[in-house]
Amino acid sequence: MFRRKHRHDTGFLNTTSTADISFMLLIFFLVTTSIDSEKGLLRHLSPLKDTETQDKSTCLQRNMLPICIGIDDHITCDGNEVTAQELKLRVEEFVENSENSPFLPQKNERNIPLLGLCEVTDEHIIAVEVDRNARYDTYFHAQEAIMSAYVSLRDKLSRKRFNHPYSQCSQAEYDALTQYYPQRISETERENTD
Amino acid sequence: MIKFERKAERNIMSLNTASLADLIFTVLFFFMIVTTMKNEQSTIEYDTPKSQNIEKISNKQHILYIYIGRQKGENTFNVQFNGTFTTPQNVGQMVAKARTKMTKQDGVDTKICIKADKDTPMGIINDVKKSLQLANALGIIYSANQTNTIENKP
Repeated sequence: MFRRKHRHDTGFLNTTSTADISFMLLIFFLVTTSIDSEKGLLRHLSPLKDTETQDKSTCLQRNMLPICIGIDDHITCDGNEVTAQELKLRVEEFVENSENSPFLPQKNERNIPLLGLCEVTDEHIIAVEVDRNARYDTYFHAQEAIMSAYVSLRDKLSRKRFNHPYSQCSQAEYDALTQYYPQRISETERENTD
Repeated sequence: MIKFERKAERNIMSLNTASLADLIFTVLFFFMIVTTMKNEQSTIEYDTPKSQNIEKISNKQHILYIYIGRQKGENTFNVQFNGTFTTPQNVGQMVAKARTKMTKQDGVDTKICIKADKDTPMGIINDVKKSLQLANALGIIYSANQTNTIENKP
């Protein structure tokens, strides 16, 4: 008991500067870090050896959707000039081929887990031809339109078959949808024409 | 008289600031957790394309950045990786070299983020892509700015 009373007399540690020190640390972290997360379009390049396996001449005309990205923001799809929004609809129509039209990609029967036997257009090719002098912005928006076309098709199928949006799919469901609507995009470069 | 008044003022209780440090530490820890360190700054100017519906890239740890843009006052486009200027043809080798320094799993997960200016000619981008294909770095991200307003796209 006596001892305890004795201890009380020792002076307190002056903690006023601790706040200042931690403030300095805080400001250091605020300056050196960034909160903004990376946003962008995720793409997978095809491995080099695969690009040459499929020759364009061997694939049917109906399976090809030629898209041309030229200078001055011109996007041409199948010979007609289109905007990015129109391009998205064209790609959707092309990949889905809902009415089994003979001018759109042929449908093959495939057995897909979770979805069963279905007819899919897994031989379609979106052939993107890019001019060397085209702007990156044009290319980006065309890419975005193509990607969002696939996403909206998969989302539609996911809502119909799994009763929830594409973003809530499990890995197995995601794989099934990817098999139903595989992304088949080929990119070629066009030398300067003028 | 003045002296007397001052002595009376001294009796005001001082504010206890002992918990202030703890509070600020809490804020500090919050910031340390939610933020990531800035990686090397590019010395070139670039303005990435604008887009409304782009995905957020969750894992920032395994991203290597390639900057393509103009230097201030110049009109030619440069490619920058890891703080040094390079040519579109060499960038793949540099990426491959950077990946060998990572652990095996990190190297596999690595994505290449291309931060390119809107006006970059596609020739440069295609050369960079070809070079990345040769280096077997296949996961790429085209970086973009998010906009909420509806714009007239080309």
